[in-house]
Amino acid sequence: MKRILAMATAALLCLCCLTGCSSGDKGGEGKVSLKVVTQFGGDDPAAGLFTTMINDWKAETGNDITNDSAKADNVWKSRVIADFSTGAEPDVLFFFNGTVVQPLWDKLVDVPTIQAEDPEYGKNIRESVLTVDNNLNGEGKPVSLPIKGFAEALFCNQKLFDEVGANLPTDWASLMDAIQKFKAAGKIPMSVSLGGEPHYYFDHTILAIGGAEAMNHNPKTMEELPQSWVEGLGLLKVLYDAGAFPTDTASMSNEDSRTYFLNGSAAMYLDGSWFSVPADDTSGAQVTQKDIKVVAFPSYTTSENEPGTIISGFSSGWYITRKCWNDEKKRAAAIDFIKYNTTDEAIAKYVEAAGGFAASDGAVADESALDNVNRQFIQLLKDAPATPMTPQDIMEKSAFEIYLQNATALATGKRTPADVLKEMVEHNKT
Amino acid sequence: MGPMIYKKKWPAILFLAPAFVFMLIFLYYPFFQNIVNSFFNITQLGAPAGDYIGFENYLKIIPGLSTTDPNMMTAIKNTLLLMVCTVVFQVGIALVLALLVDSIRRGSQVFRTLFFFPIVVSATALGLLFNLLLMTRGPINQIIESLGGETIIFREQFTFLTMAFPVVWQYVGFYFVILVTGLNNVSEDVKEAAEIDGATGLKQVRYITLPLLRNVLITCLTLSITGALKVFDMPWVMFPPYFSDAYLTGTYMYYQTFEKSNVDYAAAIAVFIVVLGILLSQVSKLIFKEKDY
Repeated sequence: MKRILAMATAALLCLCCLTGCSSGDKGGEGKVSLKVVTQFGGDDPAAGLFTTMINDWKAETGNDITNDSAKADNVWKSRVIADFSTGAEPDVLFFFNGTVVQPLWDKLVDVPTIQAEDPEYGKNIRESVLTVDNNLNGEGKPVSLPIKGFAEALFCNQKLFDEVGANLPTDWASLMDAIQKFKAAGKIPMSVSLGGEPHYYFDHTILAIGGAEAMNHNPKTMEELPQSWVEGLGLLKVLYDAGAFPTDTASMSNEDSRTYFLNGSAAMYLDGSWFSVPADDTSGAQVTQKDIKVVAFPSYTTSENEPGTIISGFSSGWYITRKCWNDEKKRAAAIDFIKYNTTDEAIAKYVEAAGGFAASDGAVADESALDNVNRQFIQLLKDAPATPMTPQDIMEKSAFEIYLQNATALATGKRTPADVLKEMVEHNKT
Repeated sequence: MGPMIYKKKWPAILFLAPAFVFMLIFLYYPFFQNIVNSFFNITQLGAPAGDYIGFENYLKIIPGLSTTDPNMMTAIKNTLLLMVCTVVFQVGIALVLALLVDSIRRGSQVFRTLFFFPIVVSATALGLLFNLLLMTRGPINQIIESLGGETIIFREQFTFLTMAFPVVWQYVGFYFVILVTGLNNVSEDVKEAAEIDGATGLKQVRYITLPLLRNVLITCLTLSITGALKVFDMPWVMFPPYFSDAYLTGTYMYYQTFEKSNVDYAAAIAVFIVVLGILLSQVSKLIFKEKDY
């Protein structure tokens, strides 16, 4: 009996191992299975919609999808890139563009090549979106198919502003005034984790001083380094000294900084259009959509930075991997799957679910379906005199890491902006 | 089956082979490849090795050089301190608890379950729990403020304690179970004989129980020393990635790999962790030699 049991167990284990060796071809039916990796996982606002899109596409085509999506962070990015290095890349990918995808260019199929096979692929996406600098490979060809853009701005808790009698920050003076009033009232003026996620303050302090023009640099020598970057990073210390940040900004996690804002302990929070604010207080939330006012980060110098300028762009999109492209059956299915997710209707749904703005003119999101925050973002974009991209997307990762490591030191004055930027430029040369 | 089973070597080899092959593929090969990687420039996880850089990475780990990485020094200092804490407090508290539980007649099973419970909860969940408790606007600070005290920024003012306390607390139960099992193996006859000879209470612990528990204690010490080198999940959850005061060798290696994509340096740190682990466990074995009774 024991022998029979042992043999049955061994056979079962072998079967399990062999199952993993499946090629993804669903046999003689001509149906295929695609491995898809996207950012629409975890608590991403578009995760639910993406699951529905997958199920609908599977039902329509009879093909299968292995969805390996997760919420995007640095660890996730590294894992995706590592999968390419080890030959375990997915068939279809929704990933960042810019410097982070550079190592993968030769393993991804550019958009014109796919359009040569299927002219309808990405036809509805605006040319200006396809050809933004951070979406072009070394040959100047667009590599990804973006579906929606993002914007970054300052989230303000209107209820707290009313309580302390402060005006929403429209310029630097009103920002500093609000900071003082919140400090006096025992509230945290601006919630941020400088030890966890300080990158928004890199973009916005430089923008506040240098305006849209300052965003258009990728300094590789000290001569190319704009003075506005040095002065801009100096604002971190100005804000820190004014008591704008939480006392534990260096050691708190980013989740803590969100918690401070969402439980009403902090009045302002700098983030992107993807930042999720509870719709109502049914879950016990202290701060809900109706309390939020979204404003452009205040200008320090209105001569250089025209008020209302906000950072915005298209930083991610759909990709087909070369491995998938070389498989005739998968190629057609991958094109079809991405087309299914990039129709005007689909793009409108993604915008409604997760905010931002559409990459195609035909995708008109139902404004009534948008939440209060995203409606404000759309208005901010309409009113913005300029919508520059963030320079961190085109800088070398190792160079930008220098800032991330030193954000607290910059705020406390332990290191000077000139010193940190010099080190960044040295790492940006490669 | 008879004694012949020990004369035929092939069944033993046959059954050991899969485990050996598994270890070879998933432990020894990656380990030696990791040593090789630490000498080459690798800028992405899984990317092919670039230029040969010699001992550049190891020069960052050696203290007192111009190339020394200050964050790595913080990580080593914190790890060694944590090791002392785990040896003294984890094993120490576990020993006291085990002796107390062993001395009671009723309810010992309840205490075993209670003390072991933190092991069952994931380190990530415990990390988040301690984060919530220790936030500047968390419950502990609210109590302090209501008593008229000043807000304490635990993670900055008491970085090491904030990190070490949950780690020590979580694993006390692990060593407690090992020690209780060891105490169960101490013969009742020996204890009774000791009592007849007048050795009761602390005297019995000092002259009978502890000497008989020596080998188990040494195992616990070795496990706690090597375990301290691997502490990762809870501190990683409790502190943000760019807060260098809280780095441990394990968290710093992870940071270099996934946040900075400095894979070759992370490989060198991994080699350092292994070497340090082997050295320290050998030293502990030399100091606390096991005895046969």
